[in-house]
Amino acid sequence: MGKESDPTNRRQQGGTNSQDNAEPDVSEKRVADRQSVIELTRDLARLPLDQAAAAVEISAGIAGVSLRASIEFLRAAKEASGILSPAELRGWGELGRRLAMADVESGVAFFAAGVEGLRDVPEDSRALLFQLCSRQMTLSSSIAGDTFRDLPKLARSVANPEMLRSILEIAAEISRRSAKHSAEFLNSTPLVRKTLGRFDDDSVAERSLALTAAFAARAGGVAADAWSALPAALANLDSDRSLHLLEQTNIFLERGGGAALHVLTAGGEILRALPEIFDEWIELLWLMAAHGNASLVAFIRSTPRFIRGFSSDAERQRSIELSRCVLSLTGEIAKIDGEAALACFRSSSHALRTVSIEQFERWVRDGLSRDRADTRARRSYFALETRGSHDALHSGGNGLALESVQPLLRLYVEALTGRQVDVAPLSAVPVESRIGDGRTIHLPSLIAEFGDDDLDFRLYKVLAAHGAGQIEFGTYVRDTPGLRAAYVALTEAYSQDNVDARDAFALDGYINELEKGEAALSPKEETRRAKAALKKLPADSDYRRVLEVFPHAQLARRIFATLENGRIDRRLRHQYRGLRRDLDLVREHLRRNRPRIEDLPAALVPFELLFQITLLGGVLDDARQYYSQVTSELETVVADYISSPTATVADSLMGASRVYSLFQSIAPADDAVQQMEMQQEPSESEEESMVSSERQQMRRSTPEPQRKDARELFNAWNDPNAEGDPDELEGAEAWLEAETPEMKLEEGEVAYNYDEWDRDLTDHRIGWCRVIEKRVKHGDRAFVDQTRERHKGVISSIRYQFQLMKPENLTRVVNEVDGEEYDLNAVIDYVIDRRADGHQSERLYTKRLRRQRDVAVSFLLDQSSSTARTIGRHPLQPYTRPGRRIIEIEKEGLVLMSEALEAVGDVYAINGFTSEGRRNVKFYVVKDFSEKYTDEVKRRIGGITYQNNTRLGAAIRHATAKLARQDARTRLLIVISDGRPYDHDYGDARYAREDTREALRQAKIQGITPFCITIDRESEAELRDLYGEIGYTIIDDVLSLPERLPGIYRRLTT
Amino acid sequence: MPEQAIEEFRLTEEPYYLAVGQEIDLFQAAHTARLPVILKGPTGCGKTRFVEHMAWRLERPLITVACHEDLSATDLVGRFLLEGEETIWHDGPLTSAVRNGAICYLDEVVEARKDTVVIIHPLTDHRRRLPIEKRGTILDAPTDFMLVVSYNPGYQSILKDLKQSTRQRFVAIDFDYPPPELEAEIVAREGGVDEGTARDLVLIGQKVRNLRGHGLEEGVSTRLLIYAAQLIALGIPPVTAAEVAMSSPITDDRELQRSIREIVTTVI
Repeated sequence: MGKESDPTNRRQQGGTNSQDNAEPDVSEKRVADRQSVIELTRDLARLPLDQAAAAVEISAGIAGVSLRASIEFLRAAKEASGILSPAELRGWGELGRRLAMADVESGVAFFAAGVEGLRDVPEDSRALLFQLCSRQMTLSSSIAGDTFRDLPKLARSVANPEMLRSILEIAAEISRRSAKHSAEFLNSTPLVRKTLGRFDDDSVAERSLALTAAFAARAGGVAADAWSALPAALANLDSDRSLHLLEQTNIFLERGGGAALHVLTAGGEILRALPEIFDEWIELLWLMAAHGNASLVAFIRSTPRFIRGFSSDAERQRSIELSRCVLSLTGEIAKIDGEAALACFRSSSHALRTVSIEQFERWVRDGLSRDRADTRARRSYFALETRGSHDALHSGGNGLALESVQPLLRLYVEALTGRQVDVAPLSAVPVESRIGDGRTIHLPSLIAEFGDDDLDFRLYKVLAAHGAGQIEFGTYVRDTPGLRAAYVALTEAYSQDNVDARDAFALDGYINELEKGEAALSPKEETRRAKAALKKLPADSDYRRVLEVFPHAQLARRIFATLENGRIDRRLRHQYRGLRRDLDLVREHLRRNRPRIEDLPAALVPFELLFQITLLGGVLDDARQYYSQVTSELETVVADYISSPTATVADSLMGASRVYSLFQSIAPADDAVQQMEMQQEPSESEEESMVSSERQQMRRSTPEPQRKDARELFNAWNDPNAEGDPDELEGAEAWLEAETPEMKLEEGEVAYNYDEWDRDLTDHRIGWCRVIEKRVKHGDRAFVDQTRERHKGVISSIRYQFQLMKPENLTRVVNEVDGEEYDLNAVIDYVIDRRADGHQSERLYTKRLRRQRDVAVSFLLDQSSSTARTIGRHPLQPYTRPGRRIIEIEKEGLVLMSEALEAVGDVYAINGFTSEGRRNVKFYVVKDFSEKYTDEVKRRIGGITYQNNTRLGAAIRHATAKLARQDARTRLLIVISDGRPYDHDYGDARYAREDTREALRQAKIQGITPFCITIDRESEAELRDLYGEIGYTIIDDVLSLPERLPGIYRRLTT
Repeated sequence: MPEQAIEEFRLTEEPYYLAVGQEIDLFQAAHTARLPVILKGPTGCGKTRFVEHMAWRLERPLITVACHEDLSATDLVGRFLLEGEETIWHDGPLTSAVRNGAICYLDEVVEARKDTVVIIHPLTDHRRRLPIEKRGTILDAPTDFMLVVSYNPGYQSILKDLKQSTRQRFVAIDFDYPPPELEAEIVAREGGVDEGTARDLVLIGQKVRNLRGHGLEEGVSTRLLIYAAQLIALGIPPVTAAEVAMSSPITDDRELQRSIREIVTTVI
């Protein structure tokens, strides 16, 4: 191995020698060294011949590098020879020699450390180790040293010779390309080893190693990442799933190491959360792979977020269905367009929080059927960026969308309850933290029951009234005496001591065998239980806490939900006479669509009967015929408990208890529960929501899937186990993986989102730009003072002109029929007229009237770096006439303007803006409408500087929004810019111009008069394109801006 | 103002007023103690009716001035008018009230200009006198004279808030819409409808008032409820009556109007 390194060797030799020479007492030391070399060599002679030969040979080689290292080697060689074979000894020596070449000290230390540790390392691994280290050595000697040093420890932690060999092989393979990665690989090994050791099945470890080896062969350093990703990827997976994951990852290696690595991590997450959809996901990956690796990797990377959005413990089955549906729809898009599919996939979780899966599906199909040629439009559509797409998602095909009536319903509910209540869509993926909080009413995002908007609206109204009723009639009340009493009564009834009593109560003696088994209890135990039975309702509890008392909480919940809906229905009918019409309409609709009772499975009959009695105003004829006995029992309960106009939630609970016993008697509860559970995931907890069970029930009983809605409608009880995790995602933005990085907001800053007009799509992109409102950093007020000094004359004349514009606070109006004072002239005329002919004018009075200028003006200043240009520099006299920057001139204009506006007394604001991409439009508030023209403001004017780009449209939208809140008759927006909107992601020049024009037009629609002052002369035609029918002016001589600005203003406002 | 004219301001019949709290006793006490009174409360909750009722009870004439932006001091105090060959002094409503020991009621006093309001200051403290600058005389108020102003703290902008120097000259009685049972009684009595209809209207009123602050500046007033009742009494269908009296007058916002209509159809 030495040959190719010989030249270096020699070069190094010179270097090291000179180093050695540099040491003090050189000659004495050399003598001592020589002696010890001789002694040590003598010792070596006792070794077997081949080893001694090897040792001497190597020590000579090392001595060429460093004498001290060589001596150290000889010292250690005796020990080492007992452990290492001659070949290994050579390998060891060679490693040390090369270490010493890089740094004598580490070489010395290397030999001094010895090879005792290698004793435990199997021989076949040692060869690999030397190979690995020498490969690492060529790239980094220190890493090689570390590797060698740490190997014994590694060997101990792996504790499996075969595995150790494989690991070293992989490391050697990686080290061909990267020493750093091979070291990382080895470093993460103990942890990975621990993870793999968890599996009973050795094949997981084998496959992991094989996979990593494949990674190493294909992609080098990525293998280290894959290896260290294994513990996280395989966490909480059983061996079958792990093997499956490893296998799929292996297949994806053909798409490159990066893609495969992502498959490994994201796949692990899917297998943990929703293993059922893993295969579909993999299939989809192949579809995406057809569009190139970039799409593939982006897709895989967005998967974990997708999964987190969908998996909810409460409704597993539903999550699976939903994500399956999304995956298959994404697949359909992926067959056409990879990026569109990716966009759709990313927007799905967000979309499904606002609409149902049916709406989502229709939206996707709509998108697919649109113009196939325009890929950009399609991508924007699926990314939910355009208004058109947004509308398509929410309105759906036919039926009444919640979005169109949401504000109306919110007002309606707020009026009914007198509380701040939100109306939210009962979407496919509900925002869990908002369910059942008593502040949010969930309504379906689309109703298409009647095929008539008016009737559909009435259904919405009924549902909203039900939601409001739950609030008004105290479904969510806490700690009432009624609830406490119900809790105590029910705890007593269902405590184990009272099993016998309960048995007697039940009709056919259903017995829970678990309770029967315990016969005799010690007196102590009995008192403890009695105490437990009498425990009070915990503080701050509502009906949910009481429901937990029932042995079969799920059964109780379903009964309670139905009864409570019935109670609300009755109370609404009692309280709101007019609503009865609408309630009846819905009731009739529901009645028409009931399944025939004999078609239902026996276990579901009681629920159907209860539903009919409570919400449909009585049992249908066929049901009464078959189940007259049960029906009359239920009718009694309903009449006893929930029909009173003052019934409370506690009555519903007590009623639920009666029905509960009754149900257990007619159909053995185990069966009923089992039947329900059979339809759901077997592992489902008791906290199962009643929605899914009802939905499934509907699916069984009615052929048309559409109808399930009608019944589900009465469902605010979506997930009674509501106190889930708060929604970790903040708003829509969290779901859109913004390609443009967003700057962090500093403290106190607020960001606003604005649409942007896309001329290619001829549509708005929703929430596309983010405008951050910032305070200007303080500058020096010297700028303002200097400007005032320089333009002293101009200022005083402007002030004078503007003061003339200022109306007198009170104006005297003459010739009035009545008023405060006489108008002396009129009185004289009056007397004269009277004397003359007796006809006189009655208008003798003067009146004082208040007159006001009612103007609010907002100045919007372009602060982009293009305003840094210097203008007016005299080419021949650059020093005496240096010219000025545009921004400075703009600022001067503002100073003069402020002086003028102070004189006239109009309300004004000064804002500046720059931008760095669409998510970072910076809007600087120099002076807000309500602020006074203080020193502070003057300093801010001084502090205005130029930077970045000009996203004019977004800035205009924000300025417009601020101005629109002003309460003035004339609202003026004056934009001062160089007429060239530009930003790096602002499309071409025409795109930017059209967006600006659209923003200006929108401002005009809002009753604001925009006016644009362009500092620099562009071609007239382009400016017309930019400003459209909005007024604008071009200032040829920029230096005249300060003087001209007040004049322009005066013309605009008088 | 000629002597007999003041008799026109005397109330001969008892104006209907249903007491909600202690306001009658308070007012009477204030009158005895010669304290000026400020009535605070939303539009249409019965402030004016209350003053009328009290004037009848105290057997005093009642002179009411609706204040507005252009109401000047002259308008309140009086002016010289030319009549034929001579100028004749005409008492303004305030002067006339002081002269006759009447109750002077300045309705919505914040609407008046601030410089106008100042002239009542000498009347509202221990001096109880009204200087009449134009004639150069000072009028001392008799024992029976009483100044009452009303003021709606809810909707006016801050600009129109009452100055502290003015506010602190009055004792204040707070008004609000009456509680549902009483309001139903009032609506039934004044609107001439049966109790059930009145109760419906009051329920609607309550629900609409819930929207105060959620889009509505002010809830629907008792007065509007009575209007609706009156229309119903004349045979207008209740839903229509409620709409013209309780929805359109209070807001121009379509969405709000629609939601109020839904509430109306929910109740009736």
